[in-house]
Amino acid sequence: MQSLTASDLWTGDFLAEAGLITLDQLNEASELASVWGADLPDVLMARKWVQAEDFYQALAQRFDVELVDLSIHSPDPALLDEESVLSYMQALTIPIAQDGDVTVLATARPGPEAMVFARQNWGKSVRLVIATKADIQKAVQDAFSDRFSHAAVYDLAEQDPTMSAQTVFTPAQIIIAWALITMLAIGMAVDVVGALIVVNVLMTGFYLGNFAFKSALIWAGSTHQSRREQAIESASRLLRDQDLPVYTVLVPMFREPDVLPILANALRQLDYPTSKLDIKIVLEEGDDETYEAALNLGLEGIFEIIRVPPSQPQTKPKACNYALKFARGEYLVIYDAEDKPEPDQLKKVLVAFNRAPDNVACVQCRLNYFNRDENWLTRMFTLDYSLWFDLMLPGLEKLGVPIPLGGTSNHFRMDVLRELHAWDPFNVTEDADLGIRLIQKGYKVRLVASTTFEEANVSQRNWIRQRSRWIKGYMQTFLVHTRRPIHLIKTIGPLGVMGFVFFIGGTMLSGLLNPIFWGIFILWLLTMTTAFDLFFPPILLYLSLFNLLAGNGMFIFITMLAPFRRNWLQLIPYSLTVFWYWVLISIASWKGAWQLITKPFYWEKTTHGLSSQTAIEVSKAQEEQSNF
Amino acid sequence: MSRIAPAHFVIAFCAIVYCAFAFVLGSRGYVSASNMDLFGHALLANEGLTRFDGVVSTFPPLPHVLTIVIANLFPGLGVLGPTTIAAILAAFLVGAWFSQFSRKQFSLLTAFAITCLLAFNPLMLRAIFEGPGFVLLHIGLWMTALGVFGLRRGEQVTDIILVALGVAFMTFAHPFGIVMVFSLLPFLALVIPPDRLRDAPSSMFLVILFPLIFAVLSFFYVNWVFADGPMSFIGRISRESASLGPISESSFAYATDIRTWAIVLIGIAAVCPIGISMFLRTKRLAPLRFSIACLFVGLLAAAILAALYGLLPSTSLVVSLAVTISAACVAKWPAEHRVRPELKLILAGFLGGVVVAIADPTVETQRLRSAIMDRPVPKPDKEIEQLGSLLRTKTDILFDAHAAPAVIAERGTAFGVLTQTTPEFRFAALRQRTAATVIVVRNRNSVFGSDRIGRVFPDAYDKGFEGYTPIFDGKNWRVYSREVQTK
Repeated sequence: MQSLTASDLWTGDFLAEAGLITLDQLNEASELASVWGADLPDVLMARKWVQAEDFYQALAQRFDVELVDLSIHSPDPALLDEESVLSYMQALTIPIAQDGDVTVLATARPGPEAMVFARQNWGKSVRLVIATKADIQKAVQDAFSDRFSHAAVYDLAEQDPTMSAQTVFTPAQIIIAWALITMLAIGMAVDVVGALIVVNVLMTGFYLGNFAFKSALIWAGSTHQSRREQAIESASRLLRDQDLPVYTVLVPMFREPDVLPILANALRQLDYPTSKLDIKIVLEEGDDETYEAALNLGLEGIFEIIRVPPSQPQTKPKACNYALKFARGEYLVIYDAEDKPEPDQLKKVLVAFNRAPDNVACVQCRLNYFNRDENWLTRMFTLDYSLWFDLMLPGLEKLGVPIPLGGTSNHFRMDVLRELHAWDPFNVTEDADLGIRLIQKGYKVRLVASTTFEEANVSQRNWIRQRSRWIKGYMQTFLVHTRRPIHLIKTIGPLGVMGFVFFIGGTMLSGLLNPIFWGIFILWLLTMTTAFDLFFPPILLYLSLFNLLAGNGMFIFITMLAPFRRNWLQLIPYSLTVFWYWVLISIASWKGAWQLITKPFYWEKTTHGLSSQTAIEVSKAQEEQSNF
Repeated sequence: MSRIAPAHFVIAFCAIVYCAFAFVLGSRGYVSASNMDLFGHALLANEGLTRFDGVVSTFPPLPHVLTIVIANLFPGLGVLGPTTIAAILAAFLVGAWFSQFSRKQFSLLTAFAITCLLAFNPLMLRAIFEGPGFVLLHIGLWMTALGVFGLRRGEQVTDIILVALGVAFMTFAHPFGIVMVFSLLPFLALVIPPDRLRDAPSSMFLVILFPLIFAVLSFFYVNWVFADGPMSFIGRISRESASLGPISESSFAYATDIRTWAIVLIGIAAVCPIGISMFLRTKRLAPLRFSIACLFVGLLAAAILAALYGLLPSTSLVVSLAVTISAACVAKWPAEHRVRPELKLILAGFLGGVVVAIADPTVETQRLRSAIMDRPVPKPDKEIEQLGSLLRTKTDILFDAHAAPAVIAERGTAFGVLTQTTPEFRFAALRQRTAATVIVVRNRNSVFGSDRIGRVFPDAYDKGFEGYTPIFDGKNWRVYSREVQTK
């Protein structure tokens, strides 16, 4: 708990004296401000005990200065310095005009701190006026929006073009693909059966390698996790608030007003001093409904709302890149709108960073679902995520294979994130891509056993949309990082390449190939036709049969193992129905592949808030918020 | 020094010693009956007389496929091929033991001493020289035992994987493995964490048994596709390959004799004193106590059940499984600050193994004892040996070799044999006559019953064939040779 600043103390007294708030409200707000580590005015406005216009009007009267509407009196762009953006946002004080020798400064926090800031930056010849916090934040964003917006889109593509998915297929990749197709065509012209057998052998080898690799991952990921988890948990309890660094939390959202209360509540429950949290809700400029909802919840008092100017591609990574320019934390994490991170997550991550070597630049936390028991799909999705985050990713970490970061709850060291030009706005799984890029640049990713609970898709159509984007993103990632194969081997090693090929390539390729092999098998089973005998000489037939039986059996088995770490044993029988889930994955894979060619940068938006559990979570969050 | 390197050394050391031992025993005339049978199967397969689909649909598939592959890759190993496979597999198993022991707080020397006492326990040697099937059963049991010890703690998914794969492995390693798994199942309830057993018993058993169920169903499917029907492998289980011998009154009497059960019971206790000690010392450590109880009772129940179903191998082989349980006990022995008793207990188990190996009256154990002591080693089946020798100089032999692959092993090659997979055999069956130079037929009144030749020509054993003269007359087999036409 931290004490109030001098400005807050007298602001509180002044508001109470002016009759704008009651003494009870002042006491309660002071307490909350101390607990949250927030500014007193922010708490008062978040609780709606004082309206923003009344508050700023009163401030202006108190100091006998002008209240300026910055949407009318825009700041002079020449006075604003790009390097000082973070300090403007922190001090909520900006230069708006030059009146002779005097610099006119707008502040939303008049008081000693603002004066010190003004003197340090502009000397003694300054004049203060009052502006609202929202106006100041918007003015700073507007002043740099063009530059920041351009940087958000093109920074990576301009600085490190080989790592950008802006070019979907490089000429070399097109030539290789063409050469392979030509070879196959020549092969088929010379000996059609022989050529198809070769293709079959390659596919069979791929399947064999894929399931051998994933078995190894599960094994490696299952051992000795608990000891490390306990050590991190114990150490996180020993952290002192005053030693904690500023942590940026980015929450990119797009037309998701309904789930905002869940997020707001979850973020407030984080076991981390609010004064050291730099929470940014990142909204698209046109997304007025979410913006209004955020204002109605009074979020602008505690969190900063960043509005991303419209530009193409309209993707989450672009929005994050834009917001990153305003981030002031030493570390950064991304959460989705409906995320519920475990309260101790940030502290656990800090411990993991502190204990890791310097080249560990990212910590990925686990994801899972709060609505797992809602329907068949949510159960299967939970099994899928449990397998991925609880078993496979720890396996990758243990074997030293690049970890494709998952959607949210990835925590970064800010300096490294900026050094790498952050996320690729052209990649629709920018997180997976960044994970691989980090390793290629000599950094490492660690995992921490803290879970963020999300809303699992309840509708198969919606699920396919989401999964098709992921698989398209995997394809983009695969294409980007295989542009320089020798460089890839040099930077991530042969095991890393194998892991990358099977984990990223295997996931998408098996989705594409499975329907073909299933089709052949089902046709043969129904008709007992001998038409395929020609393409499956005995040894290949046995190998394919082994793949079919052992491979499917093994994947069902590992799906059964997935919920063990969380003791969600009621999900195990559903593993037996995983076949239909694989069918959905294949549909999504083909959709993703088609979109890679037709609409490579199109962001298939997942609709959130469809779950009945989400509605319960929202009302629970609203209730907790009103009781807080 | 890394602990990995010594484990590699142990594997290499054991592989060399086991192989050397196998070659010495081989030179003294000892090759187990089951290895002879397996080698015969391998010769038939590699000569193209058993189609590959016949191989994959044979039960137990693991030792069969391994033996055929190795015999194909290294034909020079000859009849010692299966023993070599068993030796190398056993060396890896011993390496895994050592690797586990060296993670405990033993000195390298102590870990090595314990490993050697287990690896060279006479019963372990008996299991190794029996053939790859039984060593694979040991490997499956080792996986299961490790998993069983960890399962109740409920911390690691790997424990579930070990148990699930271990029981599947045992089932496909040896017919006794099926019984072993069947017997273990109810006792697994002892080691599943109580809360999980209470909350989701069906889920727990589903995940533990899924690989087994899936593998069994897959095996049915393979048999359905490649053989005569999903269960057709049952009729083709080679009791000889499993060292079970033919079902006969004497074998049934042996298996159901209370003395056999007593020897098994006492033998297990004698070979695994560490298990008993662990059970007595772990009153307050339920996970360990229940685990050892599960393994012990499971093994005993398997012995009894196998006896009742006529699937009981020799006493030494059954008791040899207690050596692997001992190894698991060492690996999971609770860390104590006092003087550690594991070495002494394993030494006691070694001596127990010597006693059981001496006391075991079964033929194969006696043969091994004779070979070790450099005494004359009797052949497991004299008639088979004679038949094999006789056929060595013949070709164009109409012979249901799959009914007695050991004959092919004695003969040294399957070349020149016309089995049921050859057109000559099929034509003979269709036309009810043959032009083969030599015909081998089994006595339908033997304990094995008729072979395929006997079924095609029902009177062949008794009456012979027109134009053929008998050249071999045994209790179970007769050989007829076509009379030479003189002009």
